[in-house]
Amino acid sequence: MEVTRRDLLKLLAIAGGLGLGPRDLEAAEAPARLLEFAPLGNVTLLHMTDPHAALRPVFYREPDALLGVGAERGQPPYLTGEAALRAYGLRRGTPEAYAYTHLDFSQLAARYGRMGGYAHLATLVKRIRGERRGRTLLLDGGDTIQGSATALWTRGADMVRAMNELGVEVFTPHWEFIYGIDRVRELFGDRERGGLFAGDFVAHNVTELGFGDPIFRPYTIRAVGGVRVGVIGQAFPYTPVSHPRRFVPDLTFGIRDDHVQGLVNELRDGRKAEVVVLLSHNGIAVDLKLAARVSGLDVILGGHTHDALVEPIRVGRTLVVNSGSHGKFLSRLDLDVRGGRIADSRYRLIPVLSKALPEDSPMARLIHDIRAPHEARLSERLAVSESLLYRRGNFNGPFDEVILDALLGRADAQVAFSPGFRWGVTILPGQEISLEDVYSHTALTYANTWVREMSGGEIHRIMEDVADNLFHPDPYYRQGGDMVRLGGLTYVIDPERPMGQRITDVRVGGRPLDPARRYKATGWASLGEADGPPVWDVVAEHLRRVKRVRIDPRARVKVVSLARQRGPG
Amino acid sequence: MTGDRPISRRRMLGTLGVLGVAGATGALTLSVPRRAGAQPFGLQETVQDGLKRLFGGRPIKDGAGVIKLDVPLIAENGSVVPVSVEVSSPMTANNFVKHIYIVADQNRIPIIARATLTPEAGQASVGATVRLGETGDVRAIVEQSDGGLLQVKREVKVTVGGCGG
Repeated sequence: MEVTRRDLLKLLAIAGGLGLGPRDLEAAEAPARLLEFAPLGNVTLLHMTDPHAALRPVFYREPDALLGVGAERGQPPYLTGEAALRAYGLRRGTPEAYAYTHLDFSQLAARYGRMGGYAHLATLVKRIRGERRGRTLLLDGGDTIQGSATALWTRGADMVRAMNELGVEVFTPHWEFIYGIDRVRELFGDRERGGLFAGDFVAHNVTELGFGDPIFRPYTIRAVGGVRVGVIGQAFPYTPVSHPRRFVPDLTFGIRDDHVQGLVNELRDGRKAEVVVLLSHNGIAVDLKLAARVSGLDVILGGHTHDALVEPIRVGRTLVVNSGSHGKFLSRLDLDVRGGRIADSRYRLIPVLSKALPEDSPMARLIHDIRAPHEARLSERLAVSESLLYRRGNFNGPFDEVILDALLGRADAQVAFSPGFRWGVTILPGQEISLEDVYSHTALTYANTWVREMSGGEIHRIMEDVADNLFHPDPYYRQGGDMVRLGGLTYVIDPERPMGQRITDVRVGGRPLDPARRYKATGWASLGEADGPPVWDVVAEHLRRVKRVRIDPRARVKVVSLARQRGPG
Repeated sequence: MTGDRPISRRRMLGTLGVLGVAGATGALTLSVPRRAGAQPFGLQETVQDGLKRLFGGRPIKDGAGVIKLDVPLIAENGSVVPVSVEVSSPMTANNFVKHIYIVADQNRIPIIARATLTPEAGQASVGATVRLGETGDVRAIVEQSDGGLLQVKREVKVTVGGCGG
């Protein structure tokens, strides 16, 4: 067994009783140690996913509510806060607690600083490539070119430039499609042509609707450390129902695990791949189910649900990795591949602590060039927040409440809808909110707001529909994301119940929702056409007007569970 | 149970989708069932009533392992949902698949299609593009030449959509 410096210090601390003073412990917890990694074997897979165009370091708070249903409950990744720390043997107040959980977020954010950022990430990647010359493969699981103002304004080009500078070698998409299939082809190429992206864009499950012709290459094979590594790309399976159909009008997607199985067999038998990886944008629950149904996959490198999975989950012979979001983490998986089999592996979800990693100069210059024309506009100070503002979590977060307040105020509506996206930066108490921050929560290509009358029955049906996308007992029926955010109303939810029965006691302005009554409703990110002003303008106007934001806890959603009440847990 | 649809079938369904609804092999006809007390057009019935009308009280056995029903788990467009049914069965004069029904439990008219096959078809498979009103089970029911009935079903979600990831 190898003893790392941290282990050693822990052992000393235990052995010596009070042998270590608080100062020593503080030093022992220096974030830099998290970047240390004892190399193993001949292949190093580096995986990042869902950066959502966070070119510069961000604060991003992990969820406090992340509910699994049925057998998932209480198992990784459905562990938050103290339960997550216990499961992984971590302590409160440490850089791990800051990176992997929501606990003490404001204090730890002040102590450890922002995370991610392409210039810091580039330094880390270069360092590992230097140590492991010829043995690394850098894979990006997608949702990379959406999530910022500059990505929106350049229609993704700024991020593809950053990906090229970082040296991303394999990629699979999801949000990329919101710029339309033609733009995706320009940026990433397709089966026949190359694009601006210098790496391999793989997506086996994107085909033409009429005759099923594949649009992109299904996989790539790379020689890494003398080992043939096959990487199959699994684009987000539910792209056509998750975004306006007009962006991918003639394409069909799907999980297609039988097709994955065929490709695994082809790679192993026909193409002599020694290691087979699925670069997936399925979301972790789908990854876990797929891993149980497909044989011969060595590794799934997953994204979409933004789960910062501290340790891989083994399903049969498959290691399932999920690498968080927003550039917070770089997964490093070292493999010792011998005779076409993985003899040993070592993993860490490396927190990209920007304070512990100097900027890489070429990347910093590129980011500066990208931002310079827009800097003045981006940095407009709209308001100061007195509260911790974030979005991530199964139900309304405080930043959602800001958006909902803005929507309700503008439309003078009774009910407001905002999607349960898992992207968007966290704002600390006392921090200014810039226009750039607002875009980080809203930058998409269908951001127009809408106002219309809806019946109470329709409102309830939408809530049930979205809840089913989140809590369906079969992961293959889930689209990912969180519960739709609602303003103007409160409700009770039991995630364990079947569709149509999860949402109860819906109240608008304190009074029970009447299915027959019509309510004035508003929202944004409609999958149909909407002609109201884009939501970033609505939110920015609201913030300019209020100048100071304070979101005290709102008793918006009550979560109950019959199973939980009855069960032993 | 397999996940989604293999490419060959997708190609086939794509072609069929253009035609509306058609049999995958020759020697069959496909129609909204009208026999046994045909219902007037536009009349609503529950799936239970529909099955009773067609099959009376005859038992319908589980067809898992015999019938392969391919349909998306989440419809990309509820108005045009590709469905295909493949039955592992002999197609001889004495033992063949006589009918394949496609049923959408939640549709206003749940019995969507009936394909009539003869042994000359050689194999029992059918594809169709159907419209689904809302989330619910889609079933394939197979009537064999001896009158035996088998079925499989799968939930298909027709969602308002939107995404969080």
